[in-house]
Amino acid sequence: MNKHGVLYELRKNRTLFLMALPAVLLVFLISYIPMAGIILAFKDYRFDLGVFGSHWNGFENFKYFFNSGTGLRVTRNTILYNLLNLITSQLFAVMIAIFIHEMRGKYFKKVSQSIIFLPFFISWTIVGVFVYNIFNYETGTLNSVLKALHMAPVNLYESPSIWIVIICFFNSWKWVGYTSVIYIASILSIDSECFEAAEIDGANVFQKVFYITIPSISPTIFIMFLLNIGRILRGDFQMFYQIVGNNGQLFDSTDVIDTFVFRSLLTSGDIAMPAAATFYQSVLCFVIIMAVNGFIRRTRPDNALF
Amino acid sequence: MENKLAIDRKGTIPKTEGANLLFNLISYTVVTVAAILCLLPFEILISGSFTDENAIALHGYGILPSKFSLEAYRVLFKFPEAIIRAYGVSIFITVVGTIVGLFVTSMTAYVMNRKDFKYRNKLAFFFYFTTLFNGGILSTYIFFVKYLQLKNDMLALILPLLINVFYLIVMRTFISSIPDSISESAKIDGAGDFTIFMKLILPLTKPGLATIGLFYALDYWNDWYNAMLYITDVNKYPLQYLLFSTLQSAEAISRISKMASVAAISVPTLSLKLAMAVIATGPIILVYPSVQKYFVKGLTVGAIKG
Amino acid sequence: MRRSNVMTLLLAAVLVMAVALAGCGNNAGNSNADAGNGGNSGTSGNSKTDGNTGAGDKASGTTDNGAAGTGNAAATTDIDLSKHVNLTMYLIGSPARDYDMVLAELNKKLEKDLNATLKVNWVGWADYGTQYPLLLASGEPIDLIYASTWTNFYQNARKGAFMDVKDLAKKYAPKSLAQITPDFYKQTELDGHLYAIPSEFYQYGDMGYIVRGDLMKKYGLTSIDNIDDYGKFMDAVVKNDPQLDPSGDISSSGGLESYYANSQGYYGILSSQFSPFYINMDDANPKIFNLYETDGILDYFKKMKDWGDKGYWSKSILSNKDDKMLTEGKAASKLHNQDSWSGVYMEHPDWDVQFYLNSKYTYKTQAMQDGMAVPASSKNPERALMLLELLRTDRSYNNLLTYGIEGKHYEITADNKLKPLDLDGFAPDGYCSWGFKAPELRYDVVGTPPNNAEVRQRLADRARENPYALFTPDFEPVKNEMAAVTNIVQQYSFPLNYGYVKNPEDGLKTLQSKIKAAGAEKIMNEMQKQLDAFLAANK
Repeated sequence: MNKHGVLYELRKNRTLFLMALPAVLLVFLISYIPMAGIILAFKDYRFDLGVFGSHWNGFENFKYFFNSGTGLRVTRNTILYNLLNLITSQLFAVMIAIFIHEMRGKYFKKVSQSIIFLPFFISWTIVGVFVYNIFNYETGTLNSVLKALHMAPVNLYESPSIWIVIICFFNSWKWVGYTSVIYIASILSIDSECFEAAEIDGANVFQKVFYITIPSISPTIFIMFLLNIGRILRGDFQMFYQIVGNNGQLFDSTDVIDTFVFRSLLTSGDIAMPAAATFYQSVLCFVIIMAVNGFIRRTRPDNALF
Repeated sequence: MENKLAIDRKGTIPKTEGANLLFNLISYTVVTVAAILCLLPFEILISGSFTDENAIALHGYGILPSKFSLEAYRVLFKFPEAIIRAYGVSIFITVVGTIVGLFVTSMTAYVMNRKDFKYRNKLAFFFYFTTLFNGGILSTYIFFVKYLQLKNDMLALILPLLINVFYLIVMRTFISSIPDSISESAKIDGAGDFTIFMKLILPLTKPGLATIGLFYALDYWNDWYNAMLYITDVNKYPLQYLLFSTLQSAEAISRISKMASVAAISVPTLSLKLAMAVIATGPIILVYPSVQKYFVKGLTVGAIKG
Repeated sequence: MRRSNVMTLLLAAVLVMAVALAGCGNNAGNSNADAGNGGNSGTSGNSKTDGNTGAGDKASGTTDNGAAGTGNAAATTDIDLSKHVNLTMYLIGSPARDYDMVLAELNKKLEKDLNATLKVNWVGWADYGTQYPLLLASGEPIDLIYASTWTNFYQNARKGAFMDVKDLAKKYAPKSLAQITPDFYKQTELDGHLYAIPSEFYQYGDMGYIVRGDLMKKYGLTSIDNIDDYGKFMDAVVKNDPQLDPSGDISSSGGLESYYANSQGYYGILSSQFSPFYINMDDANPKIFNLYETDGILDYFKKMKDWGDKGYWSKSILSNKDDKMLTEGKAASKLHNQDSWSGVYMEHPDWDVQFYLNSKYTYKTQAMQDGMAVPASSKNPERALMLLELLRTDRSYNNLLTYGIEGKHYEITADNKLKPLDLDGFAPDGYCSWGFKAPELRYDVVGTPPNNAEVRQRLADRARENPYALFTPDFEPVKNEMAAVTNIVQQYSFPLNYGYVKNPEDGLKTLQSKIKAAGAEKIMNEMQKQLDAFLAANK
């Protein structure tokens, strides 16, 4: 409709342009300019020649990432962890939200909600302390309790698969309170007449939950999934790094792309190879988002991200 | 909504009372267990920080202190300057970062929400794109250190977190709940765009500002990663990084003990780490009850519209 | 439709930017230099066009310094100090409590002597691995940096991280240059360039067992001559002193694997962390082999499994970051070198801490065990070298950063020994002063173990000339494989070394096959080629 040119727009909305300018400049500065550095992934990096002066070396830097299947392993881990974390945390959040919403005791409701929300405020560094505090073999609380109960202490560092559960647990631990608040809000927005009518019809609480609450909040659930799909290839670096650290025996089941990139830098001292891995991650992420968004736009256009 | 009311009338409805009782039983149990799981790590942390060092070495961290001791706190507070300084840094970046970030975010969100701003969708994509694609830590690091010269500069802690695209989108949702007619009628009265934003829009989005402000504040307070990259001067460590470095190497602890003139042999390293974590988390736990309600309110409003 | 237009636009923008930045790389670098240090131009790393730019150009480029502009470096001996400069030095570790005080003292002198101020930045032990490559890559102007084989000196130097100081040093650090003995010079030199000045200090970096003598006596043990003796000691600790950790931070030295290898007379020829490639020192024509394919290794891993189960070390050792457990009184022993031993001894004379050797052979440390380099990003290489010269040859400078302030942190006794007065404020030799160690300026410290000299003599007696000291492998052709192997070792060999793998046989098989898949053959072939060439050249 609007056939006016850029200049006309600039003149008409110059204040709006000015108002958006700080953010645009900031994002340009912080995010876009460093994007030029992706060429590092294709360079034989030399310190004295710098990013732009170093010579091109094609896909040489990518070889290392895909050698001995590491690239595939960390990609698989990243996707699986994110899916698992997404499903468990959303599931718990919906559950908690429904339970809290149906509660009659006002005081209990408030206090429990506050407590469950608390972990959202806690940094991963502190979670790292928790993990050490609870699970380390010699002095961890878990083993102290087991010993006090005259049971054999367990060494969780020997069984990598357990860490999938631990990571999943702390992920939910941190996010459930926050997500459940959103779901509670979404439940509150359901027309109360629905519930009243159901009650008059003699529906019990299970039926209300399964036939009214869950169908009504399903768009919210869908949106929450969508928002998180965008991060499917970005492992929460801070979480993994603080919980697992550089503990080699756990890598098979805990290594995600981000921790792998960080560790490569640490051990190889080479900056071009990690850059290649980062580039691979960005491209894959981009492709997945575009595919998912395209699919949604075709099926549920209202929910498309952009 | 009507079609969702299709309750199966042929189902077994009669036992409403019993079903409700069962539901309550499940919901109270699940919520109570969840609340306990959320609190337990804190309890274990606090208990460990008050436990005598030798008792930890022999019996591990218990759920309650096996032998009460204040030694860890005594060592920490004997020379509190490092901690106080770290507090200062954390408070500074949190306050400055939150205020500036909040202002820029809400202003941009307002522009993105103005229907008469032709490029609002392009603007949105400009921001969204950065969550898909990035240059990786290396090129960002080089850009920050070499070109912006931000090594050991507080700006290096503030800039990377200043604009969060996710918050920007949430903020736009908040603002979209304000009827467009407000802006339009003010415009007819001759008010400028910036004035409208400052005088009319901002006051109307208080819950949104509170929520996003808290998001930003948490991000800043809990950040250790940027400090790890850009800060090498121990006097400029924010609190979380001070804690992180204490956990990472014995060297940071021995520094603290030397500052406090405590002989290395009597430093309670095991409980000291936990005491540090308690001190770093303390303010959040203290502030939490008073901010939580704004947070829940803001999230609720955001979610209903979103 | 519209969206894809935006996309194209953005991608185009990114590309344009990349090209634009590439084009103006030099300008950016130079304007940086101007902004950073007014007037002093031409030293920016970007102005080099390739790695082999003659050092002579460099020197003449860098001496036109400030207003006076003594353009001809070779012809003039007077050095222009009219311009005040700020020097930045990076060291490893964390500063002493009183380091700022000491630095202020140093700066008073430096101001007078060189018209310069020194700022010291620290890279913590916890993250020097990440920080080193980032620091060097960022182009942040650094004037001096601690360099060593274990901070990947050779790899970084090959990639152009440091300035060639060969010619610069002739003018600005002549005494230091002259101090470098021919063998050290040869070891440090890389393709004809001198990228660092090694500290001229012979050490025997041999790792051994540092154990508490009082406990040895208590358990009735007399000596520790091999891994099994150490096992006996740890066993006694577990049985008699359960509150002590038998081996403390055994993981910071990578466990007992290198001890095992050294006791067999194997030598880690690639001197690279996490590398399983060794040669046998008894072999005149050595072949590089993979330690995990050797005969005894399975028995060794089985032993580790047994020891791990018996609690000789923590079950969460890989997550343990506490490397001061022995001095903190939490552990009964530690695996490290002679210096660490005398450090522990001084802090706890009552423990009568002992040091026992393990290796079959002892070698003098390589030149680049410790040294200082001038990064390519330095804006003031002349003044940096002059400072290094002072630190290495002027007692008052060297004392300050090595021992602290006289009268406050130390005093010199009548028999010319150094007595620390305030170990908490500034412990002697504790703050990365190793890079500019000068033997003739060193003091014996009061309170070192009485048999310190004896142990050193013992080391000296058995020390052999290391025939491979000059061998500095170039990993470039196999860097992908090396990186992959490093990852595999971390992931599969560490657990075996601490006995975390339930079945060592299977664990070893997995490790072997993974390493093979990661390209071990290629690495060994390439390195063997380089080694053979080296041997042929040095016949």
